[in-house]
Amino acid sequence: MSPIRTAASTDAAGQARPRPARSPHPRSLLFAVAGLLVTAPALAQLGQLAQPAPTDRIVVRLDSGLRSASHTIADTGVFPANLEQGRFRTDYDLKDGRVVDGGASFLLWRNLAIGLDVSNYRSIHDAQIHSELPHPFFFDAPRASTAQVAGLERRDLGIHIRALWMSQVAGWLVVSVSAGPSVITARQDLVSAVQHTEVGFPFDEIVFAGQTVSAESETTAGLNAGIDIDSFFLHRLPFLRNVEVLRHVGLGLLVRYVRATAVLQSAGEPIELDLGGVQITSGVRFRF
Amino acid sequence: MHELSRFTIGTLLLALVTVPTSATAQPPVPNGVLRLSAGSGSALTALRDADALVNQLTRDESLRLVRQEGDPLVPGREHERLQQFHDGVLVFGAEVTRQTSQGLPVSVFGTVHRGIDVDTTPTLSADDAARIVEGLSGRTIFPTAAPKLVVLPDRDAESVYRLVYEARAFSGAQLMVYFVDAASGALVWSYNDLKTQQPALPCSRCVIGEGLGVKSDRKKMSVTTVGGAFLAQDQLRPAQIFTFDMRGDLDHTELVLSGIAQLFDADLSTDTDNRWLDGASVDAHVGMGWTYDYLYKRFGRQSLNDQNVRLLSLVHPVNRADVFSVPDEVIGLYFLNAFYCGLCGPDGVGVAVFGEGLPPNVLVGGQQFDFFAGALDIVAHELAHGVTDFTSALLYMDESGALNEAFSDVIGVGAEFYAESLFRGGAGVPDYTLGEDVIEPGGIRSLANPLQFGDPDHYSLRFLGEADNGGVHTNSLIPGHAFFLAIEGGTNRVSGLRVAGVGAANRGQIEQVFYRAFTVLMTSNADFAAARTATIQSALDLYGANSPAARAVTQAWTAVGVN
Repeated sequence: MSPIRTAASTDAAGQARPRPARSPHPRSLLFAVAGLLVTAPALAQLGQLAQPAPTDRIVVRLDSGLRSASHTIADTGVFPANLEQGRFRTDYDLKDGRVVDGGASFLLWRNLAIGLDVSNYRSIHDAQIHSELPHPFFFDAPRASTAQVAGLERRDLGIHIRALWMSQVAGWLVVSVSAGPSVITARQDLVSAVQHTEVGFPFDEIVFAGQTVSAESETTAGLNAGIDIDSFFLHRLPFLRNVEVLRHVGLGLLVRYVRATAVLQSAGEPIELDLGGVQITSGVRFRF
Repeated sequence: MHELSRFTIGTLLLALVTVPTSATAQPPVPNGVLRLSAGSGSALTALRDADALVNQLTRDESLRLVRQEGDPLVPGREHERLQQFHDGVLVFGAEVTRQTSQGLPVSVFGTVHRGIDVDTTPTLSADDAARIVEGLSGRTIFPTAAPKLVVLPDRDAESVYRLVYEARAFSGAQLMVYFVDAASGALVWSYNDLKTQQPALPCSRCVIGEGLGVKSDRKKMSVTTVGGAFLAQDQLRPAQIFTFDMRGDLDHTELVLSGIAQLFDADLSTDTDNRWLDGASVDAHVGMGWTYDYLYKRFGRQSLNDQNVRLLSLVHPVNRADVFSVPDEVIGLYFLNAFYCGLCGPDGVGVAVFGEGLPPNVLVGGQQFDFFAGALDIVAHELAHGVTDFTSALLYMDESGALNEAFSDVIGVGAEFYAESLFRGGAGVPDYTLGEDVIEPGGIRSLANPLQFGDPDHYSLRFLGEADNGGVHTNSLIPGHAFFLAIEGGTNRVSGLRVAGVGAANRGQIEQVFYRAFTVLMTSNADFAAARTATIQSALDLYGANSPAARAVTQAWTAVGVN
């Protein structure tokens, strides 16, 4: 069996059409709202103050967190069988995943800095496969099967260039807003073929026997925007007051929104894959 | 059918009831022919006493159990088929079917003979009889059908029996069954057992091919690939299905039917690229497969014998171009007919032969005749004769012969309705007309309107002559019309009686009622009255006493004058 895959979904009239990969998910909004709530006091203070520039020129971050990526995509494929075309449709249930994110920023002039981040997102998800296999004896009498496949991987490796406006809100608190381009390499496990076992006469039923999964990848450009809240208060804690090196170590929170779309070139029609979403990470900060 | 003197079951039962029975004292049973017909609609005592009679005859070894099977349509029911013997010799046409539920009788049908007085020691040997039959037929008799001794009831005289040899011989246009007196060698009786379409006339090498049928319709074919070629051998179904192309060689065809010539892979219909263009081969092969599917899915039956016996057909038995140079009997059989030959073929298990039709510019009676395999109802009709051979073995003459034909029409029509909706995507139009796809315009028989082709639609109009084995084809429309009325409803033209049919959506009910009656309840010499009783019994068993099916079947038989 040599399947030819196409990316399409079926509308109410049964017509195949290119499918937008994105389906809005409440969790994305939740992340965004949460980020705004966290940063709102700092922003308010930022507006009231004269936005003093930070004194340290370099900040290095190392974060981990979550990225909202929960949505579904669909992929269809066809393959020749019993003088007709067999079909399968795979519904991928993409889930939120863990993100490891790190980077550095360099203060160029007054409050303006430039930064470069690298993020790696990974999630494991399930998919539902709906197949139709033509009958060996009759035209237009396909047999249907449904199967669940687990352990499919989605991975995005992103490089984010950021222009930051950094504000020393307090002696221990730096709030930054940033935006810039991103380059993201998306990798998605896709079902590229299905296998069935014939039960035998009268050939009214088939048993789903397995699937072939191939990893498709594509690199694309996008945009990112975010807010960093970096706090350097450790050395102010009473029991750490004498640890000088902690003046350069802090904790921070990054809320970043990315907008990007990758088009995975499979054997058939391309699949649009939404790489966007909100990610919230936190971790350590080093300033020099 | 010649009327045999008969004792009613009531008379018999009266005798049984009035004389105390015991293990040692047998009831006085009158001599002669006893026709048993007791079921759910009969008096309980009648059923009990018929059952007791069967038990008694079984103890006497007059009746021997030849088949016992469960009922695929009514769980818990068992069916026995018992054959009568006299001093160890089979009595022709004498058998009984008994239906039981948890050991209790539900119905008893059949015919037994009492008071047989004939010596069962033959004067002639079987070889002597074979030579006599060869002389009568002009053909070598089947190697698989050597003459066998039977006791033959006289067809005209009551209580007269003869010890005879029964033998079959295919004469080229007829499958004759001869009964030769075992003492004198005289021919006692013979009849043509060729079931014709109309009067006088998961394996490693399995692949799916695409074929164009006689009507240029696309079909999938289950075939076998050997050495790069594709052969019309279906190994995907539990019963293997073979379609052989005789390539217009009539001599070879007749030798094959006679069992003299073997068939080889080289004789199978073949194609080089698996895109089959020989419509006759395509439709014969596909039609047999679809008929197998229909029998399996509708009735749970596995091929003709319910044990997945192979299906075999011959196409192109003659060359169309020879139609102007061959005898009329060859035209009638191999050009303008299709037939099922029950004991024919290399293994003697039966062969369906589909006629070649006529050149397009040749009309007979204003009709064009295309390859007969192109009509699914004809293919299914012929194979249904095989089902009958393996079940009720309805004698192919008079009313039992008409029932034989009627059952084949029922299966033919049923297969067409079943297949049209499932397999052709509505491209065809199923109907109650036989052969309309290849005999145009019109077809050859109509269950809906028998009079359209001059056939009787009421028992009072039945054919009583001797032609066509006693009118097996034309009289088949009486039960056939009853089948139609039971499904579609309507008013019989002659009786004016109205039938409330079950409706087309429930056609499967009536198909099952008839199938069950014809395959497990009826015996070989059943007449129309027995068919009525058996089908009503079948409807009662399957759907209950007050069911629309039972009502429809009862009304339908009454409407066509069979009571």
